[in-house]
Amino acid sequence: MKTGTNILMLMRREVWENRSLWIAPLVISGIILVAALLGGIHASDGNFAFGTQPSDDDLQHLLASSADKHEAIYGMTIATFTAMQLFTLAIVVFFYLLDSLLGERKDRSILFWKSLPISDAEVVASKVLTAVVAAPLYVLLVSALTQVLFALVWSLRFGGTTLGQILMPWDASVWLQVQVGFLVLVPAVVVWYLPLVGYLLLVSVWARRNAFLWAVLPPVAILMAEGLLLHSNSFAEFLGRRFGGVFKVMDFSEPRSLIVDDVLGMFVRHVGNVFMHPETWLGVLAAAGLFIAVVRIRRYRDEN
Amino acid sequence: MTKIIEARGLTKRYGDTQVLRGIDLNVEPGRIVGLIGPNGAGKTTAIKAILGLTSFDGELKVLGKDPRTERNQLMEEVCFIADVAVLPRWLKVSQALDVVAGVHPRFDRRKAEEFLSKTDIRPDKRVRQLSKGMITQLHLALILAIDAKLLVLDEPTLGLDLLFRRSFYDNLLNDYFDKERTILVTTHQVEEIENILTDVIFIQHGRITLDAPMEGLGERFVQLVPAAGNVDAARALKPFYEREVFGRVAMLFDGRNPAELAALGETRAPSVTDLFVAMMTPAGSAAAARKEAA
Repeated sequence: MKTGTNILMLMRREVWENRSLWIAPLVISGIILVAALLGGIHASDGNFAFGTQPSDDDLQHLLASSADKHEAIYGMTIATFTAMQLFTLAIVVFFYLLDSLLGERKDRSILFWKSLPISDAEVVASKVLTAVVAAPLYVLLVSALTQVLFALVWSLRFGGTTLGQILMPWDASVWLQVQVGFLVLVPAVVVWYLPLVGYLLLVSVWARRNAFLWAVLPPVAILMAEGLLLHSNSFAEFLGRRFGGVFKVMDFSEPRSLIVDDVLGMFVRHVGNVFMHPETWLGVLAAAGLFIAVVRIRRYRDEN
Repeated sequence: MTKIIEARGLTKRYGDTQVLRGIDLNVEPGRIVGLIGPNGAGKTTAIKAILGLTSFDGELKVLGKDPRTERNQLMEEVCFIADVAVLPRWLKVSQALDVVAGVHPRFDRRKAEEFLSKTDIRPDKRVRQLSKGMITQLHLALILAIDAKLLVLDEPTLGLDLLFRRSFYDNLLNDYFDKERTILVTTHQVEEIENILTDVIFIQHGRITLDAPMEGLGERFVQLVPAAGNVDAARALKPFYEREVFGRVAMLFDGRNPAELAALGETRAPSVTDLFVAMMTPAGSAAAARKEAA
């Protein structure tokens, strides 16, 4: 009970301290909406992006295509928005984690936090939960609302034009499916990347400065040493697997079309592979070990 | 009543350096204890051990708890101000109140707000916008509103001007201290706190060289300025410290009969500052160490 309220309080503290966590998604939303308002439209065969004005041929072609295709284009568009948000979030969270346990020692505020009746485990848990639960949920919420505003902007901009007949600014069912899809995808990806979260926190609690270099140089050194001494690249393969592997595990390789009856069901089945895969849970185990190490190290880390 | 702090043979080494060489401490409830020593004497390390911020060897109980294993429970009843600069600079005053109220079961937010309302500190200000003195006031406001059994202050007024230093200790005595509470304070500005202490502990080279209640100091220690012909007679009584001021000799005695000394010249009770200076010089500290060992 007390642990729960402490962690929630500490998560509020993380939001106060790390404003980039909540400002960055708003900035991305702003960019998307401004682009939707002012940007040119590039539409050709099924592909669709912000760019130059579409030609009449393109428009006729699109107008002739099926409603399913319109829905698919709409779905891809708003999914791209969320993907942009999540990509930005990954970068912000990367630096947030690297600084999270170093910053408090740099400004010596760790002594203030340690004067309060909160445990090291609660502090570390608040940072992990902020990074892997609160921030992603917030971003998904911001993105969902951005898509509503996007619908508004586009209806106002293209309402009554030829383009307006083709470009679907809003489809409640597709919108909902995209949100649900991401709500399933994000936890799978987060669980897969938990060891990376643990690694970044370990660097953060250990380094006295230059956390970024400490995070990046050891893997690079191992890569080079292995290449020079053993002429092999198994560490590179390991890293590649830990970074990109989650999408291989989902296995979207089979021929697919966006125009199937149950896009969401298919998507969820693929994402579900992640939770069935032993590598995922090996990673979770490794992450748990790293978190425990981080808590232990923070215990006496303010000594100089 | 349980002891507030109880230490037996507390030792700590950093690599080759022995920082604490077997410290024994007994702090009773309702005392204001000054832990006084030069820089590098081991004050801060002793404090860190008491607060569970460092590992150590030996026995140590704070409020009956082991700071190594029961730190979280301990921090509900122990407060500390380690230095004026430790409040996070991005924190707003109102957020500082939110945080402490959110995690501390013994925090009385109204009391802290009342204290702050008497200062120039506005709730929407961030710590980085406050002066050093105001940061200390804010920290003090947070601490005063916590109903703790032990308050530990490690050089709390370092870098503050005289007015803030004075009001800091005044507030501490008026708004905080009572017979239920205990304060342990370290400083190297002895003269500033000697009037408020009930007990004084000198620490030097990781050892305790003096541990005495203030009320007994005047009987145990005597400063003598012998009359012109009595200097050798006074020296025969083995002062542990001697210095010359304006051509006259001042001597400090430990455990001599005051009447015996008064016969040789002017006597008075030395201040803690006098004792500190005397005992921290090589000759004085050697004598004190012999005395403690005996």
